[in-house]
Amino acid sequence: MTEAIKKTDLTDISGKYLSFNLLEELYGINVDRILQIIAIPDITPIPKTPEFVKGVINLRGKIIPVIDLRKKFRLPSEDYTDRTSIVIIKVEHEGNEIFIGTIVDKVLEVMDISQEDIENTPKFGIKLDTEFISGMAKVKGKVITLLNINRVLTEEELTTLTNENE
Amino acid sequence: MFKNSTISRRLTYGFSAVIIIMLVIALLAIFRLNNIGTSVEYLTTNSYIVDTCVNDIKDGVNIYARSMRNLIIYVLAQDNQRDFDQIKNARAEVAEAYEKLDPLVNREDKEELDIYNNLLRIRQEYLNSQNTFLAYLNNDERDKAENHLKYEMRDIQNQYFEYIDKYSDIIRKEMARAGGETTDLITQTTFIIIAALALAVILAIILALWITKSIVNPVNQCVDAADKIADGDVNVAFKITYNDETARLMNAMGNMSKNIQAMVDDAKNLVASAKSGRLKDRADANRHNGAYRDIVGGVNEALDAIVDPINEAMEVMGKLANKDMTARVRGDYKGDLDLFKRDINLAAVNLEDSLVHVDMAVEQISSASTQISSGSQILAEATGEQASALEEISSSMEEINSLTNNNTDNSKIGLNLADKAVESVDEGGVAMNKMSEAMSFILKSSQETGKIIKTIDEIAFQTNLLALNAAVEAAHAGEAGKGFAVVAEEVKNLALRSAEAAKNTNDLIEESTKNAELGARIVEQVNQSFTEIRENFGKVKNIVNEIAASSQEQSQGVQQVNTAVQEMNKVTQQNAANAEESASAAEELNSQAAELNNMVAQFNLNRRNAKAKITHKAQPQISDRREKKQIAKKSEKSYEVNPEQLLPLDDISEDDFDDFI
Repeated sequence: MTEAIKKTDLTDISGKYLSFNLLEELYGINVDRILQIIAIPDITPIPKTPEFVKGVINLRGKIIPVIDLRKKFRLPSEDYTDRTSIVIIKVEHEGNEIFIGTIVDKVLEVMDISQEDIENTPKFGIKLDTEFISGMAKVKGKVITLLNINRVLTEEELTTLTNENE
Repeated sequence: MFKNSTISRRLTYGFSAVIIIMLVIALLAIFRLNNIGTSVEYLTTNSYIVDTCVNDIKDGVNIYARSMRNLIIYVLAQDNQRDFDQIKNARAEVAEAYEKLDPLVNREDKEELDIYNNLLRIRQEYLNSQNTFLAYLNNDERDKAENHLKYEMRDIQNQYFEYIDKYSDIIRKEMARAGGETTDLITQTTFIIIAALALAVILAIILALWITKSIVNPVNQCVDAADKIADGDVNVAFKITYNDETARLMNAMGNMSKNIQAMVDDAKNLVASAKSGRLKDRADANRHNGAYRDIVGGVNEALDAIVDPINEAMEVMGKLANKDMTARVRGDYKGDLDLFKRDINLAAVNLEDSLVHVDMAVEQISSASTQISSGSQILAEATGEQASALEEISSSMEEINSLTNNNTDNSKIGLNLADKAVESVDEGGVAMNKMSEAMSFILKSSQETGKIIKTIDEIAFQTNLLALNAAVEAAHAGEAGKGFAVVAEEVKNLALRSAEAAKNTNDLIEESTKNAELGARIVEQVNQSFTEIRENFGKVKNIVNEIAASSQEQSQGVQQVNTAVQEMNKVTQQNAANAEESASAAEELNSQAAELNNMVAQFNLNRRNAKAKITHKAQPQISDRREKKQIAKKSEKSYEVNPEQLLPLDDISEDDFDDFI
């Protein structure tokens, strides 16, 4: 773990990020990982899946699983608004690239985040799992949590989702 | 002869006569019955026995004939013996019959004696012939006996029967004669007794009628007289026919009626005296006896008892007539007379008292008439004031009338205004309804606008997403996508601005919707207020109507008051005239009171006594009156004096007079 952090420290994570809101908090995802942003369509629920998995959507003929980031981050859930959107992201899994829809409260903008804006991930304690956060950035006086999207879901979870798709 | 005999004697004579007649009838009957008895005895003791003896003789001869024939028929000695015995017995019976007959023969009758002698002679012949027959038989010369019987005895026997029958005829004739005599005697006797009885009955009836008449006539006279006396008619007269007990009774009743008549005459005289006022006349009691004397004497005493108080009352009345009011009845009388005395005394006392009161009243009248005179002047002045006050009232009433009329007009105007106000309110209501409709239109438009805004917002949102996707794509393009990224940024900004504008517009629309709803509620409230205003105007109309009606009534009332004031004005004028007349009448009254005083002064009154008594009783009243007089003097206006205060007649009741008697 410590190695991973160190490794992260060493990685240059500056670039263009899509910022969005989850419960008034700002998060950012690197645009390289983003396929598309869509308004929330009809979601087909799938039985016997973890609670954070909302179901699947049909995006131009492709079946894509959709997860609720609030649920995933164990934040209190709320009804969807007309600003609720789905960000389709690309995730590497076992050498393949798979697409996953993530439900966010509100997408904001695409912004440049330089290296000097980024701070290391704060150390909350040994037991706290912060692997899915790649860093924290300060832009225009606001703190943006930059997500390591490949770590948001575990390997097992990704397997489950992949299997579901197939 | 009977005129002077008493009733008892007459009754004795009558009954004696009847008894004598009855005795004569009885003796006659007995005598006649004796004659009849003699005839019957003759028949039974003589004729009947003679007849029996003749019959016995005839029977015996028959037995002879039969036995002798039997002696011829039967030839045996034993059969003959019975016939012999029969003949023997028959002879004995015949001989006995002759012995009985012999003394009874009527030897004075020649015919009978002749027949009887022939009968005796033929009997002897027959016995001799029979003895001959019996002798032949005893000598057993039966043929001779038979011939004797057949040819000798037959003639004799027939003669014998012939004489027996002759004698029997004579005896029968005698018996018939004697029986006829007896029957005649009975018939005669019956006739005589009936005749005597009829005579006796007639005599008895005549006697009874005569005696009854002789008693009943006078008694009836007495009864009639008693009835008349009972009915009050004492003038009775009697018709004396007999000198007996009834005559004594009638005399006594006559005396009684005379005595009663005398008493009645006395009573009539007394009544006539009383009627003509001669109260001193009396009846002479000595002319009457016993209870009548008591009655007449009692009437005299009763008159004395009544006349004495009347005389005294006359005396007292005479004194009263001569104006001496002190005269009183002093005698000691009982019962109604005492009441009479008390009434006269009460009348005198009342008269005296009244005169005392009159005296006092005259004084009071003279003072009162003075007061009336001054009071009348005050009244005249007051009447003038009243007249001017009435003028003022009249003008005030005119003003009130015009005010009332104004009121009526104003209330009519108010009514019109209220109607117009109601119309305005109705128009306002209609306008408010239209406004309400307009509000609802606004609401509808706002909602539709809201929908449009939402669509715009969605479009802005999609545009924003497109801009972001463009930015993402530009980033993917790297250095080549930089220009595109700027465009994407601009598009995004436009999208955000349009979203913001849509949001602002939406807020505005929401606000206007809220305002429209508020407007609708206000319209409702205004409508309610209009309804209340309508109702209130209805009430206002009613009140104004009532005011109008009240004004009308008030106007009428004012009219009536006006009439009343005019009437009062007339009355006041009349009062003024009356006050004048009253003043002159008071003058007149004063002079008449003086005259009355002079008249009362002529009476001799036990003044001091009566006045003291009345003054004592009426003290508080008089003092009260004096106070009133003083008050009247102090204040000229308080001239009210009650008649009762001037003439306190009620103060002396009847009870007070009991003290005088």
